[in-house]
Amino acid sequence: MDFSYFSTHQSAVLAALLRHIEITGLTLGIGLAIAIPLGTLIARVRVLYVPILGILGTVYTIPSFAFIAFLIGFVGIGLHSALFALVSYTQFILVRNTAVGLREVDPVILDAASGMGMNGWQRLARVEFPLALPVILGGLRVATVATIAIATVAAIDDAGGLGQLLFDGYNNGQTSEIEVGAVALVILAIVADILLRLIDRLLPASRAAANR
Amino acid sequence: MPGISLDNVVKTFGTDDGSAPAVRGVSLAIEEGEFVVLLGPSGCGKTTLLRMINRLIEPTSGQIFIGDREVRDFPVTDLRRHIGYVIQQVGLFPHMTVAQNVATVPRLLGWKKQRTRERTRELLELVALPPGEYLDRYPRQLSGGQQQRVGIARAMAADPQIMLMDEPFGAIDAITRSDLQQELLRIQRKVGKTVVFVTHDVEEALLLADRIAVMRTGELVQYDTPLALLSHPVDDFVRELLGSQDVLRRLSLLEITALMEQESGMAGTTQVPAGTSAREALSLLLGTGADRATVVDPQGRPLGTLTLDRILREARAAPPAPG
Repeated sequence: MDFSYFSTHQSAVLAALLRHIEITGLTLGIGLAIAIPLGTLIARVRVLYVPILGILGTVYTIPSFAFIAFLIGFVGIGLHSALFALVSYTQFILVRNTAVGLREVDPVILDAASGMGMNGWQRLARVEFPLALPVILGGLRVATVATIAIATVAAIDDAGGLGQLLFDGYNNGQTSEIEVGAVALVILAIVADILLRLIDRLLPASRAAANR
Repeated sequence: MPGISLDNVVKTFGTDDGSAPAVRGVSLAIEEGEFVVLLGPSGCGKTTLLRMINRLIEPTSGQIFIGDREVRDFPVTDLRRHIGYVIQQVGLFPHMTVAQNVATVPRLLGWKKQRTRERTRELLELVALPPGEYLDRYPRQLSGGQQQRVGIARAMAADPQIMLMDEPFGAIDAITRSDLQQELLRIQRKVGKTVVFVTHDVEEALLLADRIAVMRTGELVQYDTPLALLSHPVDDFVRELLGSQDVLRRLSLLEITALMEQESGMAGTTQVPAGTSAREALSLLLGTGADRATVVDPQGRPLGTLTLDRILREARAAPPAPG
């Protein structure tokens, strides 16, 4: 492998990496902000569960390259259309895991919570979410790795990120640039996954389950 | 503080005309500080009745009063925060420590941290779980019996005057159950709550209750003291319900020194103190798998040997249910 591109373009690689992290972070932040309320809703309102997950599942199967190229026609080129596509992809996993995590909470525990005088919000915040959190975080891990991968395609949108290195390297016949971009992507994905696993271990629900 | 009264309470589940009511017009008065057991076979409506008191289920018709106020007059969360609630499956919050579980209602009521902490320690001591050892444990690290002790402590945290207990010992092994029953009696003597306790276990009802409300298919059949139920059952249903446990009840009245053999040649490794009932000794022997136990005096000196066989022979010799 040839990493000469890295030694000659350190600041460009670093900038692309930071941009990639930024796109990923924005995607997951917006993704969670939509998915948690939506997942909570479909966990409560059972009739919505199948249709909503059906729609999100369909979106999830659209090839990313086609989706982003298609969006450029509507939203225009740039970060907006890239984010729109990336957030859409996260929804299936995040919404599903939120709903599943909430639905898996033992009804007996909910009965105890209500019986002790928690109102709906208190029960959700103090009991249901903390217990669903490991499942939600599991979804977040999958969504994070997927977003890091799909965000490379965002480069066609001129949104920047590590995908830029891959495209530029390809266009300019710079093999080293492609390799540096690819390795950076892999490292980013692995580090993100490890971080989220560590967070999972710190959750009260996970710690309680680990203690025997 | 208040007693509880139920006035012609009816609960029908479902809306179609064909559905039989789960509770059919029950009226019941529970005095302040009284321990009342709702007793009956499964499906008799006793749990439904209990859950209507803290409005986890709303009655179809009829009224429930705490003191002279109808339960519907209280904001529902307020009502529940002032009524202790204990259920068979315990329902501890698995992501919270014992201390956090017990502090649930004080936290909802906005108690100061210091006050909550002191109360939590006090309660764990009351249910015989040394606070130093148990405060920071998670529910999964506790046995079933210990979990229910925490469940009881949690229900009593804000010192409610009323406790609702739905088969709290139903999922617990016989020996631990007996311990917990004794413990509950001890606590009740100390704190004097108004308790409504649901069970299908006749022995448990007789042991714990000041008064027992016998229920069948949604109706209240008889509401009386244990002694009155045994001596004057109103019908065959009550007679059979209580009589089916006749053997065990007879054993619980028998003191073990009456059954032990003096020769101590074949001492058991299990020890039981003199004064124990034959019923408890039977539970102990069946629980440990031992076939005999050594009966000891309060100083721990052996008095004789009690065999499992002797207890069982005594049980078989018990006369059939009267009437």
